[in-house]
Amino acid sequence: MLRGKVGVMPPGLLALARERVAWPHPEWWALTVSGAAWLLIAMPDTVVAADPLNHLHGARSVWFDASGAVGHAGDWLLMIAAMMFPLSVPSIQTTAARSLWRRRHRAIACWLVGYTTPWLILGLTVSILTRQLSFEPSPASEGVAALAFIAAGLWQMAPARARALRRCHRTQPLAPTGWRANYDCLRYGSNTGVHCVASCGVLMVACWLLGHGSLGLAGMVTATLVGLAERYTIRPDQRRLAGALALQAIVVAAI
Amino acid sequence: MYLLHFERTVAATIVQLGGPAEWALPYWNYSDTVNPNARRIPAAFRERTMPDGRPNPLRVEQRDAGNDGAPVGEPEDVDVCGALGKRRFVAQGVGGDPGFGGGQTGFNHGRGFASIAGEVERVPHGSMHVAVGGFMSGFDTAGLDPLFWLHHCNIDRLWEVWRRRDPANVDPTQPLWLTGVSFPFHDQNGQVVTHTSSQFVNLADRRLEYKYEDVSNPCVELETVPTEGEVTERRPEMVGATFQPIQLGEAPTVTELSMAQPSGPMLETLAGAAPEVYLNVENITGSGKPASYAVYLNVPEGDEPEQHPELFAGILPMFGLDEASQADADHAGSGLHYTLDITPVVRRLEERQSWDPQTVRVSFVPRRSAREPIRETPGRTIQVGRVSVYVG
Repeated sequence: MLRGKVGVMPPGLLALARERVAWPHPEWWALTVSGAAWLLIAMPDTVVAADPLNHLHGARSVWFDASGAVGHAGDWLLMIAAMMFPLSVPSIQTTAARSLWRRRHRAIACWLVGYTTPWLILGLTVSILTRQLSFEPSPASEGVAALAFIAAGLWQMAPARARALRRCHRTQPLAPTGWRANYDCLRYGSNTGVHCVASCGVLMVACWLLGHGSLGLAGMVTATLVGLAERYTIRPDQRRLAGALALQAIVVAAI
Repeated sequence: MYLLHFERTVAATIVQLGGPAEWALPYWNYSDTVNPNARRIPAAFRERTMPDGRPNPLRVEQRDAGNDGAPVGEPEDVDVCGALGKRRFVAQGVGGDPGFGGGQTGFNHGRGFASIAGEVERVPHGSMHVAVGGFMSGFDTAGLDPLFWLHHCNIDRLWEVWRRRDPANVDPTQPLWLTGVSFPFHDQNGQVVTHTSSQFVNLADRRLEYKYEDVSNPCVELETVPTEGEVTERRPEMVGATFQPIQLGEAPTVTELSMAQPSGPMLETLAGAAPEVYLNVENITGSGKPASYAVYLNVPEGDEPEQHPELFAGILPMFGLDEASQADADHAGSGLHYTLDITPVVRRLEERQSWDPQTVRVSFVPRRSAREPIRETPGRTIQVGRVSVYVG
């Protein structure tokens, strides 16, 4: 077998992968990151967070500690990558298509950094608040999570959320080269992220409140499927999507 | 679809009033090359009075042009050959050939691919909305001018002309397009009915019974275009863009942008062949009364762009600018996005050896509607977010 540049993959296969996947789908590596995040979340022992077994455990004697913050940031990064990157594919594709070919992956990276930042700010704020409130995993906390899913279901149908969702898909001009190109991609991503936090933040917090474990994973899967259904169907029925979230709330409350 | 129910509602009313049962919605063929008066508004829509002396309700005083019997717009506003010459219905991709119908709209109109206007949407659809002006120039008011219905009847007719012009010109076949979306309407009896696109692709369908007097191809030059072969599926690649937004006003605006050689698949795909070149005018936002701008390439310094029709790249009609610029509306403030096929201009410049593949100068020239002083169109602002060049 002929050896290509990468391992033992035949050159023909490599070219095919390049032409069929890498070229038309520059978002491939963002989706790979997303897949890896799902794997890490599904295997909590391997999570790099400071308190890997449950992000709601940890020292609560101080309102902020560095290791806890790193752990929470790690948790939130995983959730954002797993759940939100697949929902951002159209924006990622637009960013790449509006950039010079040679710098399209850099443009995507800048966009993702900008996009992730508002989410991280939300995540760390929620983390600090839950610590301040000495929020511990308990049947009561899962009740709060169930209420959060109910809130997310109601928000799903709100006109204000529909406006925020539309703004998530607003495009912006991107400079072609230089620092300005990177800055524009960052700005485009962060603007998108701000509106995505407004439209999906409640749902993300509801998932986070469920913590690690099968219940948390189920919540994330439900939330991601709702997001995908909303984006990849024409004129999605918001009542059905809200119903799915209400069902998730019932499951959480029942368990 | 809405034309069908408008036509049936009007027809039912006409019959109720004792009129003819065979009434049908007419179309305004402003592109008729054998009719020297094609761009004049038909007399029935501009005469002040009807034959019996009563005021003519089909005449709308708010129009900016045409009520005096003068031709509406310029020949470029009704040049349908660009649209009819398209080989694909759906746009090629961000930056490339916009196709006859434009980008595929997903659940959101503001996304990159979804916001691309098709060639027929730009000219003559948008250009004639702006050229007639008045009610016709606004989304919310266009239907108040009876000409609107004739205009859109003609757009429907042009779709049929496009389909008949070449067997290769076919509609999308995806189920999403055919049956994916249901559109609700009120029929002539006030009952709610729903339709999908699949019910409107066959004009001979008993439910439609659409008959157009003329569906011949008005563009002689298109007859020479070979019809064999598949549409080349190239992936368009951006090779240059501006850095700063550009303000458009009452005077011509010139911008310059640098270009690089394609470095991605286009480099291999082309293999020395001359690529198609597209000028993208992206994220056009603003407000106020819509205007139109003509775009020229590489106009020599000191020359009037109008002196160089060979450098004319296309028209940018600002129809829908207000709506596309609103952050809370369907486009989420992304604005309008036009793609002009500048390949013919580039070829001409190449033949004259005056095409610099590293730099292009783009002139935005206000047309009559845009030359009205700002004081007469308060609040008008137009900003182009970016101008870019793609090869594909």
